[in-house]
Amino acid sequence: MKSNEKNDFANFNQRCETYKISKTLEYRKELYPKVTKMFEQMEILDNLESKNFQLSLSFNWQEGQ
Amino acid sequence: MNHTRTAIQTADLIAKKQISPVEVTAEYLQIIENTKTKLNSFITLCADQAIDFAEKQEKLIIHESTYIEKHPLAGIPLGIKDVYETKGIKTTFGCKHFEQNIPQKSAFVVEKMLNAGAAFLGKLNTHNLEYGPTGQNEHYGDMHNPWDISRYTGGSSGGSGAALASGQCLLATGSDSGGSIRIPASLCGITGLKTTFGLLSRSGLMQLSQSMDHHGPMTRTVADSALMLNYMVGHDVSDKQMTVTKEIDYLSSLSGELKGKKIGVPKEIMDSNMSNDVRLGIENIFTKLENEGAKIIEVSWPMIKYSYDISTAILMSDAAESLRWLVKEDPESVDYSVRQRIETGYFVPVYSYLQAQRLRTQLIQEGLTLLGDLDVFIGPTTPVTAPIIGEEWINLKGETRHVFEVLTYFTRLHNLTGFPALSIPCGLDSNNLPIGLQIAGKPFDEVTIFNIAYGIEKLINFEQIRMKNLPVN
Repeated sequence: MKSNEKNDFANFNQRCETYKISKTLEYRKELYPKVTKMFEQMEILDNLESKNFQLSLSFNWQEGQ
Repeated sequence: MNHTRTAIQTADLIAKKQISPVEVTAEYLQIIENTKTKLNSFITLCADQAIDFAEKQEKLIIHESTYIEKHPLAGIPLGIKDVYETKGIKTTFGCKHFEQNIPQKSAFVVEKMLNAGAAFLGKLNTHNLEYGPTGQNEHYGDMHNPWDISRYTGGSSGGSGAALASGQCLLATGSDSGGSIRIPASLCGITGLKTTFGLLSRSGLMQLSQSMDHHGPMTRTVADSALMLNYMVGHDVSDKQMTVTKEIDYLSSLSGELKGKKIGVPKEIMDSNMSNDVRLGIENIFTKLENEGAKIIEVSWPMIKYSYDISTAILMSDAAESLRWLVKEDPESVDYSVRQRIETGYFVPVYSYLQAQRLRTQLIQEGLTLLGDLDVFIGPTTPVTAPIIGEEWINLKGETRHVFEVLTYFTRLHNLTGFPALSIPCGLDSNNLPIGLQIAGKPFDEVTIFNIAYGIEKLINFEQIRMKNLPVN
């Protein structure tokens, strides 16, 4: 693992504690890539939403002129 | 052994007293007996109750001249997916935790079909907690595809798909939160309808995702699906998410007329990755439709590209909300992969969930605008035919994706829109496996979908293909 990945995993591990997810390291290691993949998908939505937001801003601004 | 009859033909023979409910029930129980170890499609078989019921029904048919008129599904073998509650009969939701769960009452639609006289045979196997598209179950065992028992049935309604394809029953129920009716329909070569959101009562069904859960009839033919839907629809005051609709006789509305129909093909779907055989099978249908005078119109529905990601945010959050208590209380009872998906849902950010709901509205608006000028959308139900059981990653033209993503890629769209969507078989691939065609339409316009599907079914005659090529019977 690279250092930033270690950091991410440590954060993930902490949230696993909060959510009371199995304490087994092996279990958490298998869950981690699934959560990472989900975050990648959420990023796609975030980018799309920010594009939509900018479009709507520019539309309103032009209308205001 | 004769399982070439459809439900409608069987109902007709019973009405004419040419065959009795006892004979039909015994015949189907024998088919189940012969195939149950190969397919593993039932969790609970109710053979004794089914025979008792058939004997009582037979007497009533003889002594009451209006019995058949009042009970149009009399003697038709019915399997219920084990996510619908059934009074006095174990309902497991495909999960060990519910091994001893005996409901006090039946789901609203189950009650309706039993009141119409259907011959209930048992509870059908499902992907654990109806949360998976392959038909796998660690506790009750994987379901097996009658076209090749080494392959997935699709899921979650895999027991329903296998039972219908192999002739173990003529009617089966299915639930669908991401494709769980249409995927097994596609992989097992049967007809499966996910009805419009709000058309059917969901009282007494397991909840996975409040806004994406749908259900509907699974049958071998389109006409049987229309028949079954007639006896599933009905207003349930206890389900506040139901929409009150006018009464429609779906069966008598069937014409199969294709001429002049405007059929939209979203380019974002046809531009997606799919196997060559699936593409050829679907394009063959386009040609046949054009030959019949239908208009094939390529349309663009840009938000489709994001439907998988939008549905992930909503389905994962909803499933986490519905099933968190179970994972906390009895984690070992939940299948490993299902438990991991439920727990992944804990991590979906709230802002992503809200974004997904906003984007969903945009997706629905785009779809409704396109449907203003069209009768239906069509395309493949699944990008591939049934994969081998255990295959976790699918390589499609150099792109490797998880089997769950591949199987649900085209179906989840209509769990987001809530539009009705039906899968029918449209041919076989080079491995002798069925290819599924998805037809989706306007909300509450199941009639148009049925009609177009019925027209296509007549052109394909898949019943003959099934009789000739199905290895398990």
